[in-house]
Amino acid sequence: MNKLNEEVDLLRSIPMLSNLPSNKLKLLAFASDRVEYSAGDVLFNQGDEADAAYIVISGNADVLVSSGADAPFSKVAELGPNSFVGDMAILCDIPRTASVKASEPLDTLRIRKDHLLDLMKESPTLALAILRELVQRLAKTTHDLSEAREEIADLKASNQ
Amino acid sequence: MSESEDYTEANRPLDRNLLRYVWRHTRSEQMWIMFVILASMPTYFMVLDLPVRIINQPIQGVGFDQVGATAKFLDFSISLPDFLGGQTYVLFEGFELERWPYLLALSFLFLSLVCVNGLFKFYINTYKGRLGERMLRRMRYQLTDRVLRFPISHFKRVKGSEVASMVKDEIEPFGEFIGDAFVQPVYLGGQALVAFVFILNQSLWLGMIAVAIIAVQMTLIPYLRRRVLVLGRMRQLTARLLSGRIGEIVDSITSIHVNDTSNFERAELSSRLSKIFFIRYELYQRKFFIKFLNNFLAQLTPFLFYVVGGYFAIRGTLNVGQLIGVINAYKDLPSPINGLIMWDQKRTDINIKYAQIVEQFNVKDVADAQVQAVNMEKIAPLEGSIQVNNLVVTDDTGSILVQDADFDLPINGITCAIGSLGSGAGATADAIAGLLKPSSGRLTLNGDPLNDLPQSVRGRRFAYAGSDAYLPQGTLLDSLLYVNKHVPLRPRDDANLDEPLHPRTELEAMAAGNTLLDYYADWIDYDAMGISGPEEVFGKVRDVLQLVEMDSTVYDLALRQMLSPTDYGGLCDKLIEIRKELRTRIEGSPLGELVEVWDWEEFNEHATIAENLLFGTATTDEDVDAQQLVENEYMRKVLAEEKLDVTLFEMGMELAETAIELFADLSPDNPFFEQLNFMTPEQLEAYPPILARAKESGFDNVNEHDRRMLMLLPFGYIEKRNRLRLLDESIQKRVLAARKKFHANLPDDMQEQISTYELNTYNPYNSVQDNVLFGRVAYGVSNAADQVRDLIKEFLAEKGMDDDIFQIGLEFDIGTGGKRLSEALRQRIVLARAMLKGADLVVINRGLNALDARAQERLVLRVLERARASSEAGRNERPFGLFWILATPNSAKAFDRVLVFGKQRLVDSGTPNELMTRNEYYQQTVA
Repeated sequence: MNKLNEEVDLLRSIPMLSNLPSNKLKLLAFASDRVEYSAGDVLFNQGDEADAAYIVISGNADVLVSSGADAPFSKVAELGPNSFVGDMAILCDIPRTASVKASEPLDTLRIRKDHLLDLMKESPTLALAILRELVQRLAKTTHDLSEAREEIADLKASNQ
Repeated sequence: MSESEDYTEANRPLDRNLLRYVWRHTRSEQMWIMFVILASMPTYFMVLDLPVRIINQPIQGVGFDQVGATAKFLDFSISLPDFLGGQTYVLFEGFELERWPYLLALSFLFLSLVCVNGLFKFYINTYKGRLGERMLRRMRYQLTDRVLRFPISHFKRVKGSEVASMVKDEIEPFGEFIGDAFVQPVYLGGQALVAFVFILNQSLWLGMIAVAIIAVQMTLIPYLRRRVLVLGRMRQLTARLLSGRIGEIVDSITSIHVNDTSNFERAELSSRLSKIFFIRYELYQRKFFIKFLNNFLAQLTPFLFYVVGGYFAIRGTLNVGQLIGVINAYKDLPSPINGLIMWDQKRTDINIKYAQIVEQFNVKDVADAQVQAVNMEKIAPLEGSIQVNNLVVTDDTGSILVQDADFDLPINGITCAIGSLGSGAGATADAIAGLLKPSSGRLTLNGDPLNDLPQSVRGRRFAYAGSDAYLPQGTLLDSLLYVNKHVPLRPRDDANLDEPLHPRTELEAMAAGNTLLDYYADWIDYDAMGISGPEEVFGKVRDVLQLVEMDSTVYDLALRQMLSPTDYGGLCDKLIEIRKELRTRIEGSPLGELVEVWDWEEFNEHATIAENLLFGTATTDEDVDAQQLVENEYMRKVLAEEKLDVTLFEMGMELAETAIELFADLSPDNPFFEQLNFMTPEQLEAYPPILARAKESGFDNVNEHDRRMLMLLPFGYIEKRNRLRLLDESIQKRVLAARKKFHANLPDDMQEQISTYELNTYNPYNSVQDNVLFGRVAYGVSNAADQVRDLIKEFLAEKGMDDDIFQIGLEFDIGTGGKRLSEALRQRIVLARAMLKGADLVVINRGLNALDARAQERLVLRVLERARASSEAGRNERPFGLFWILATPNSAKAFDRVLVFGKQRLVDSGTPNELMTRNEYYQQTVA
């Protein structure tokens, strides 16, 4: 019937949101902004205050991290369609932990912080899903960290 | 305005007695008016006397018994009383006139006397009025002058609106009274005395009756009036409290709303008004009872005259002529007596009011007027240091704010203090700034007590920025320059005045004891700002606004301002040119995606349907909003012609359905409602039944109310924002056609309500930005609004319009108390103007705490840089000292010296490095 349905389907395909009732998904779609970026546009910068999360509808974006104020950015991940990005900063009220930059023309759905928080309050399944997602990311990060440590240890050992 | 100006008058406590106060200030005027009244008496009596003479002599013919008889006109002689010999001195023989010329002469004399008498009255009344107004002006000035000198601590107990009510309203009735204060009793008393003497002369007994009744009046009425006076005082106090209370309601309106206490406030108000009502009602009852009694007693006298006098007349002991004479004379007695009683009543009433007011203004510890003396001299920069010895400051409850503080503060040093809130650092800064009085210990500047410094030194060589910044209403520029207005420095330029001043302005100010300093002169101390004149103010102001990172805010304010082409004609024309250029630049470029410009031939998908139909802005305050459009007959007709009414109705149903589906189960304060642009949460509740009825009966049969409600919705619909795909091309085409029809035959009354978008006309009802843009910022493009703003800024800068626009931003009206700006911006303004002042020592007491920590730290560094290196980079300013009570302790490491406060004491002090090695608090808080 209308364009919202397309966006509702998109939202439903995000694992985190798939369990939400369809009228809530529709509400989220209605209240969110459809935002387009050209290649090279920045969605947000590391250190910015966070006010929204993004769902990629089409296109690709790079996640970039810098270790210090003047340190160069390095690419840590790539985002494709259906990925949810920027959720950590809006959940915990911390500055953005990474920058996100469109690597090709990007179509996104921008979900405002207070909207997502409100939905989480109403829907424990959503809260749980987000929790699960975050824990998985943490597990992955921990795993990566221990691997990195081992590598460093190996390097040190081989240097000596 | 020499330094030796006399401040004894200003320092004298206000007189407790109004009459004494009035007499002291208007003695000579009162004497003069008394003299004029006496001088007017002879004409007055002649005006009364002449008619009798005209009737008796020329008309009735007394003295004209023979043909050709004459009478003397304008003869003038003085007869001495008998005990002086009784001789008569003829001063002027007069003219001999026959009967007819004599009548004419007397009549014309009467006419001229009436004129003279009227002129006397006119003169006396205006003179008295002016006298009263001058006194009123003097009192208002003196009272406010005292407010300016109240000790700062006193303001904790004072409500602004109560003071305002005293200075403005409670004093008002004094004006009328002051002119009559001394004249009235003398004048009326004289009249009464004359009538009285006449009565006594005619008949001692009847005179005694009159005396007795008056004696009763004079004792009874003041007795009855005692309660009236008490009530009058109560009325005054309750009314004053009422205005204080209303002021409080206004100030605390947010907490009333968030706590749902409005009904409590209503009840409180009602109980207050009820008190006032009963006081006033009783007052009326008593007042009118006294009036009744007064009238009764006044009429009792003639009653007694009739009975007693008549009895004597019948008995033959009193002749009838005498009785009539007495009764006639008595006619003149009650009105002066009543007048006297009224005067006395007014006097006591006003005296009580006056005493009530004076009590509030004779405050203990009012500053000596010398402290705020006008000082036209340039104040030499301060050097050396402030010594703080055993400083103890307590608040009015006696709890200690800081104690045993002992340190030296070099005037040009870069010092900061850290410590938690209430640690004593803030109190120390306030004591140094003179806002708190030390309860013991000493504050000295190079050995001299700091508190003895006149405000002209303190206020010009020190700058202070606290956290609670109250900015009086005015433009942004006014509030920035405010701190540099100490004395009038350049004479006023009459060309700048909206209307010329009254030629007597200065004379009247003098007569009322007001200051003679010219408000309209140029007060700005350019020298202190380090510039040579008004033409350099702009650059200087822009520079400090840049320093406090406010310049882009000011620019944005300018872009959001609405300009009237009548005031800014040239600028508006330029903006139109820029609009056209911007338009050509946007067309066909990637920028086109950011903006959809207004085009008479195109539907604007980023604007509402209503905007598309109107193709213009409402000119009235009450917007030509969707509601009115639906109800407007003309618009309905146009819509029907294009069959848009049915379409809109169907869209409305669709929108209502979507809104109900999505929002029905949300609470009205849910953040999602912000996104529902075509409906309010309250309206949503009304729609389900409307929708049900509409579905059943369809467009043709549904009732008018439902139809209207549904047609309302799509007016606020924006296709690109709401993305419901309701607007296909055919609808857009029809909207375009309707737009053209609508404008083609626009009725006159609507023409005035709409300012149409025209490429060549500046629209005064749109912001500067909208005027330049002449279109709508696109939805769905990342940061479109920011990009467009940057684009416009860039473009304006390119066209050399930067300064013009910035200037408009400086004209921004900041609202009462600066409330149209956020607290953070107000604090930035206060900091900026502290920088403008060219002070030797800038004291900042957590002056930026409304900003986030990073911004605070950034600003601290920027100000520090300025303080240390003002003389660099071609700036002609001197470096200045800082005493900064930091809300962000992290910044402390950039200062030369750090004072550490804790538990109301100075705990430690030293350089950042020293403290890093030995002070635990410093180590913990400064990273």
